[in-house]
Amino acid sequence: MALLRRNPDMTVTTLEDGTFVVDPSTQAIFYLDTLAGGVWTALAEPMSAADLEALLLDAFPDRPRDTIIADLTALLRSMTERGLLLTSSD
Amino acid sequence: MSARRAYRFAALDDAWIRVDSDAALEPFQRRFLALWPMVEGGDAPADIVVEAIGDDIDAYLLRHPALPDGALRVSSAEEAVNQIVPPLVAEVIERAARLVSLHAAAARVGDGLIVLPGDSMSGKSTLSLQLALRGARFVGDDRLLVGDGTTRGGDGGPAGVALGLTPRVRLPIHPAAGADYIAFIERHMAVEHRDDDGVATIATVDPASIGGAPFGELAPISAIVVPRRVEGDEAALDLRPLARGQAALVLLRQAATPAVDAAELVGMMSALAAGVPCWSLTFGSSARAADRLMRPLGG
Repeated sequence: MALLRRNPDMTVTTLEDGTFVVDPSTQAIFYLDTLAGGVWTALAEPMSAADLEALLLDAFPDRPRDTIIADLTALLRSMTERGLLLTSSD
Repeated sequence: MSARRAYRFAALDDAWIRVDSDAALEPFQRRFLALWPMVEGGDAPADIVVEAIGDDIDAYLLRHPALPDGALRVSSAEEAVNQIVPPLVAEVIERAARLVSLHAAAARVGDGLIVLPGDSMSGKSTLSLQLALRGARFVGDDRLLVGDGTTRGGDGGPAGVALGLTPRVRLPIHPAAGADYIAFIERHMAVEHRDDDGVATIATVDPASIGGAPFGELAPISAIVVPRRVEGDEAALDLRPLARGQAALVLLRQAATPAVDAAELVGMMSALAAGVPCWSLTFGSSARAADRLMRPLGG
């Protein structure tokens, strides 16, 4: 099973309501909102997408399951495409 | 015919920026950078070059690494002076570490600087002049430098540094700004542009006559206030705390410092947002909004 992990080359600055991630190779600045910042925090240790999904479903029991799964799927794709996250084969 | 002139513009800490320019630009340099010290002369190699292009007396070429592709062609002496500002600011920052140029207005209310970052048409320029009408120290209507205050002997806290640029207003002034504001601007303005019918459209406001801060004046930042003007609702007035991350995001979007490393820029703007109270101000009347900003903003 592929594991997701943070790209160790990124520089991170965390504020109370958001996280900034900088890619030093491109000088791109990313702002992570509460959900994305939560994913980043959760990936302090590598984790599978399935485990992340379970984590979020447990953290937001009052939100529709399908919405959480759809949001997380889109978010992980976006963060991976932008190089913020790596998979265990990288 | 081109008349080459050498000028020196002040940088911080008693340094100077050499500009090879043209005599035709001097009247605009003195009008648009009214409180930025400039002297003629100097024989050091130029940091910024402005030269008339061939026999076309209305075209100039500016050269500086901060410009796109290192050079910029403009079609008037006035525009050449407008476009000198970014390279001048870049030179100031290069000589003084840990400063960022911010697209923001600012005024000193009491002992602290209220910084108003925002896009064009956000109302920040009018707010800064409304605050000046009310006795605040005008620091800038469109651009200033911010840093951690270690430059120029500050105490290390977040600070703003004035650039001494001349503020501009669009004409006619909306009546909602108030009769006092209109009279204030008319007392201190000079018309710069008129439309084809001769109607005034843009005016400069003499920063010296309104007690504005000269280039290099430093003041501690007491608040970041992100303005948002609402059209058609003069009663609108809402000042509320702004989350630090959102404030840092606004500051980053308004930062204009191409030579600063992105991680360093994020660190500086995050530290600024975390170091002072941050507010969001939605308003319909700049007069009412300025009245509110002159009172203590809150914790």
